[in-house]
Amino acid sequence: MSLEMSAQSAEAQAAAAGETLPTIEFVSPMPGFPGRTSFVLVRLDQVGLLNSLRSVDDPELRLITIAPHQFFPEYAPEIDDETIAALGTTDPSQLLVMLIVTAGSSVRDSTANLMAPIVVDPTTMRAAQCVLTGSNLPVRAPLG
Amino acid sequence: MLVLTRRPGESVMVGDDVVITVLEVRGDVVRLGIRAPRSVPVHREEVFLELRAANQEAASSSEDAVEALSRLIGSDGEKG
Repeated sequence: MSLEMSAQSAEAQAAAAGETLPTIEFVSPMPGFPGRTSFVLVRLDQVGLLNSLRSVDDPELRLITIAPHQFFPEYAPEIDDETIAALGTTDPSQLLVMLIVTAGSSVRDSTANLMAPIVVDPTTMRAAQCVLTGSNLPVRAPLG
Repeated sequence: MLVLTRRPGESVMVGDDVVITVLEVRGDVVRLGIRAPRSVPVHREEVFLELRAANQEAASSSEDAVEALSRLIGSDGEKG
């Protein structure tokens, strides 16, 4: 089964069950997607390693994210105070960190954006693509 | 392009709520302070361009590639 089908069936199953899929709201649009701030968050595996983010306003726009720890166990981004304030976060340790993945022709060619992770506050469901300025972390870090 | 001359300590208003202040000029380096609402992202141009390109590339990942990634993560998850 392709991931696309998985994502759609996950969405379809939730809809059939009358569940509301979690929607996250970006406090400002991600670079490259002006005007797109609402995204449906769909978990694509049992444990939340792989997620899809689909734009509410533009269903053609979909991003795939991974949880960092499987591929980058040392990754510990420092989220700046302004981002934490914008998210309305009271407990920064609760923030969910996701990396945007660019899937290449093979997994070896796939990369993750370590410099600008997506952080989500699970309480407010607000999100931001947080730019780790001055970190020298790569925008395209190989997964393989 | 609007071209303005400013001295350190002086500012430029962009719209009603974005203030750009020249903090310091030293040699060929200018330090700017930017105050903007949270809804207005502020980035260095080169960082913005790099992120925009990476984001747009990520959004157009092929289904085959995403499927391969899904399998990898799934199989690693089973091992773990």
